[in-house]
Amino acid sequence: MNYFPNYYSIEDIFVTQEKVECRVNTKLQRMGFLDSGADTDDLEPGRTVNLPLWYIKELKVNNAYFTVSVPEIYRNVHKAVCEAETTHIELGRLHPYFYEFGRYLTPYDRNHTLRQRVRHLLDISKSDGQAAKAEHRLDNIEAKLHEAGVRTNSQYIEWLQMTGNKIRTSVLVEEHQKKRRRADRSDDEGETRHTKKVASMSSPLAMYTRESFSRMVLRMLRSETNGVENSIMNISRK
Amino acid sequence: MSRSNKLFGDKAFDLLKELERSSQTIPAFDDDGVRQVLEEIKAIFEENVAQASTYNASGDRSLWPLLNFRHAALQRNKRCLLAYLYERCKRIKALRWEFGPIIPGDIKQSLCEPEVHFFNNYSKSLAAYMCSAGYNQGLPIDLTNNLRPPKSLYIEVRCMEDYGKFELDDGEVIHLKKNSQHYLPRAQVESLVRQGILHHIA
Repeated sequence: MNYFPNYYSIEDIFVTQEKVECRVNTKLQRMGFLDSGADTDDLEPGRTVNLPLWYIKELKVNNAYFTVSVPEIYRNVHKAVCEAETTHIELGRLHPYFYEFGRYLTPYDRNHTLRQRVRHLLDISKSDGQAAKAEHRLDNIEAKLHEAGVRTNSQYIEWLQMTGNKIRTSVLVEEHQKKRRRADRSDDEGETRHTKKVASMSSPLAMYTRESFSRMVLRMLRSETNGVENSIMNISRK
Repeated sequence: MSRSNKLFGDKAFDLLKELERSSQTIPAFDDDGVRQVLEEIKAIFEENVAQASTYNASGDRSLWPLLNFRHAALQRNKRCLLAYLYERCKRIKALRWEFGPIIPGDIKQSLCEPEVHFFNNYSKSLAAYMCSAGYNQGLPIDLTNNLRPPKSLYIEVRCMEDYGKFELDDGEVIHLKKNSQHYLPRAQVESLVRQGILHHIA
């Protein structure tokens, strides 16, 4: 039993929640509840049921009870399209977790078409990581790659323009404030919002007292540029 | 044992779906959902125990697949629950770094009792670590400061809300009023900027 990338991965849980079509091979007593169309208590051979991936994972590949049929999206038709024009497929529409899902189903695909495809597709997703694309064309992994690429790019530009040292309001706080503002708006308009005092500011501040003298010197020069400040700071340290 | 189409493990999955939908903030702790999942686990377990004992007595293997399925469902439920708690813990840890040692009241409401406890303990151990990290200099190091390398000692900030008085290390008291601008030492106001009270300009 292995979990990828780890036991607590929510993404992996999402993938394994997916249902896969299976054919029943033997009579399974009292498992009729799995088949919504069945009226008997038992599961008859020959029926097809949708089973979640987390159950199939537990079974052996060649188990006597179920035969797993590989979903349409990993079949040959799509493979042909894929090889013809790789960037053209709307992967996200086929399946939001295309690669991860495929990874689990690999053992059930006798033709190994899937293996080639996954590798093939990984190549293209790397190459188009930067381009802005319509959301639904990317599958989950590709969307993440894309996001990472865009973020790296913007950080690089920031670094080039030397604006990276600006302190920003943290993302979590921003979200929280937005939510609060929304709530306030929906509440009574005239109500005065109480501002939250942030307590215990003193402890992180106490550590800087040693340097406060040089800061006072610096304050007199507050109109100077950063470079001058830095050099003065260095001198006063020496 | 005639269950509806609702499969085992769906409730546990719903918990995670809810958590994933709000990817930044923490939704309220779903007490009811967790309890339902726990009840489901318990029910599955009891059925399995009953069946396993009849299997031991009679050696009848015909119910084996059912037993197997329910066991898988049980483990699935367990995994979902643990992942739910773990993800929340991760977000609570992030809270400590983003909001500082005090959680805003409305976020606190969406945490359950043990989670508040966890936050306090985490905060405590982080503080203890920060003290020990700066031991050589005899001063604690605030690790939540300077998350990006500082380039200048002073920064220009604009006040976004009426905060009140703010005392600097050298004893000078500044009155932070809405829309006023100040030129302040970076290290001392960084946490205020991160909390959205000040806005760093230029």
